[in-house]
Amino acid sequence: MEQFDQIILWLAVGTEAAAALIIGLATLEAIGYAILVYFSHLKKIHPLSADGRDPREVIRLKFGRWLALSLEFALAADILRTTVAPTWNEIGQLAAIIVLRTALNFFLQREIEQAEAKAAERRATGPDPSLVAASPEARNGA
Amino acid sequence: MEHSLLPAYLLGSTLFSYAAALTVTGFVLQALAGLARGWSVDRTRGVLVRGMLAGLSLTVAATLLRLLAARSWQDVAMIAVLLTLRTGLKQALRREQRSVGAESLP
Repeated sequence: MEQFDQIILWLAVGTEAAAALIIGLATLEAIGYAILVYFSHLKKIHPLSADGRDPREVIRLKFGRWLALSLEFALAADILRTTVAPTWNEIGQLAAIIVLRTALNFFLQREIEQAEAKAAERRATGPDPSLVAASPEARNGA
Repeated sequence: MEHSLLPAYLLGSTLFSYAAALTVTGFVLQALAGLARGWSVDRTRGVLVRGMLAGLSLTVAATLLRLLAARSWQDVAMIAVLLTLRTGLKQALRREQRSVGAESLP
């Protein structure tokens, strides 16, 4: 039984390592995109901003999503740890992670909804008139 | 009679706990494999949330069995806190599953 407990603790450590790896890779990705946006003026041609959103906002939300995923892994690690003879200390850690994760998810979700509402508003105001005038349909109509 | 059942409660609780650990680990591995194959963040989160919900259901069962075997206030207090946390966490995860559920489907 004790060997099995030890295996579960190692699995929890591995899951936490996965969370740390995801944070590291997401940070590198965000830095890479930020450098690209900063030096190349990619606001219009960068694939991240294909829907016309501010690429900085897209990078921030993408990074936030990765952070939320890494918190899920951290939570899974804590669930694993507390399945085996939990201590008051581990229970306290689990409670702290639940509160942190829920708060982070709440604010992240709100930001994503605000960004989507802005994009929808932009779409509702219609496409750029200069692009409409240059389109084949507009020319055929005229 | 009551005391003769105590080892059975504890054994059942231990088995449920191990089953929960295996379930969570299985879903964590599936999520990691999915990430390596290029799954979206939301889909990966959906898989993890499903795994955690399944694991938490099993740990709640394990905790209830431990409650039957609890004989000290210290044990009862710890079990009460664990049950409250796990039930609250399950509620939060269910809400999250509803919000990312549609995107997490393959």
